[in-house]
Amino acid sequence: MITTYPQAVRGPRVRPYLAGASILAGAVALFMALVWSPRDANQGDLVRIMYVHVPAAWLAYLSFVVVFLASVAWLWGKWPLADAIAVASAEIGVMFTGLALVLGSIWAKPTWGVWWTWEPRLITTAVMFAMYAGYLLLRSLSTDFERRATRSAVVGAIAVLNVPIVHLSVTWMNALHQLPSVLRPGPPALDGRMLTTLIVCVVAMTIFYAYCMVVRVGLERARSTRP
Amino acid sequence: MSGGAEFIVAAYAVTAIVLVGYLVSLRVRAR
Repeated sequence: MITTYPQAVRGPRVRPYLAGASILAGAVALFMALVWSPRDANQGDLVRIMYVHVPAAWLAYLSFVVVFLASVAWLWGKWPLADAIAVASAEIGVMFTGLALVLGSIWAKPTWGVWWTWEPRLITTAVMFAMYAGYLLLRSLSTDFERRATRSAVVGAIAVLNVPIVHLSVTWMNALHQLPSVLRPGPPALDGRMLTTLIVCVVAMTIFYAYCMVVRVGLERARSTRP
Repeated sequence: MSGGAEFIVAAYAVTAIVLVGYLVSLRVRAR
């Protein structure tokens, strides 16, 4: 029924609350990142790029873990909602991975002296970006819903291996990229105000992700119920 | 804000363009 389409797109009632929370958290995060957080002793104000680069990378990780969980859920129970969650999270994850790569490049130029270098973190992140872009392309190969969902779920369940590879790549060999500062054994290696700002920025970006997920899953479900 | 301001502006501008652009794409696809 075509009348079900707008309702499905509107999604559940949580959407306006997520939109409001996202705007509020984004404004607070922006103030903290650009004004409240102190300058770094070595990098000066350039450290402020961290407050967008790290949340983008975190969201890339989170998105692909969600793709993995939703893919396993599809393979387990063939729930259409699981497939919708997987494709929505993969699409948003590709966006955040691309954003993390571009922001990393902008940060690398004034700190490393180059826009790009072939070092482990950058290579593995680029591979992760290509694999999930491939996941999205794979979905266009078949119009049969169940076959497409099963194929992509297998890829989505395996491709999550990229996440620990990307995260740990800096510890496996002598890399130019710095070692993990927060997600590591022991206390975070960051100044208190910088860490607080980073956490607020990560939370704000995660709320934005949740909002996008609600809208994108609604779109996917509407697409599958459209006549 | 001092040294490297153009890189900071570029980073935040790129982030804003990508995030707002994605929201617009969702809105367009919802039509």
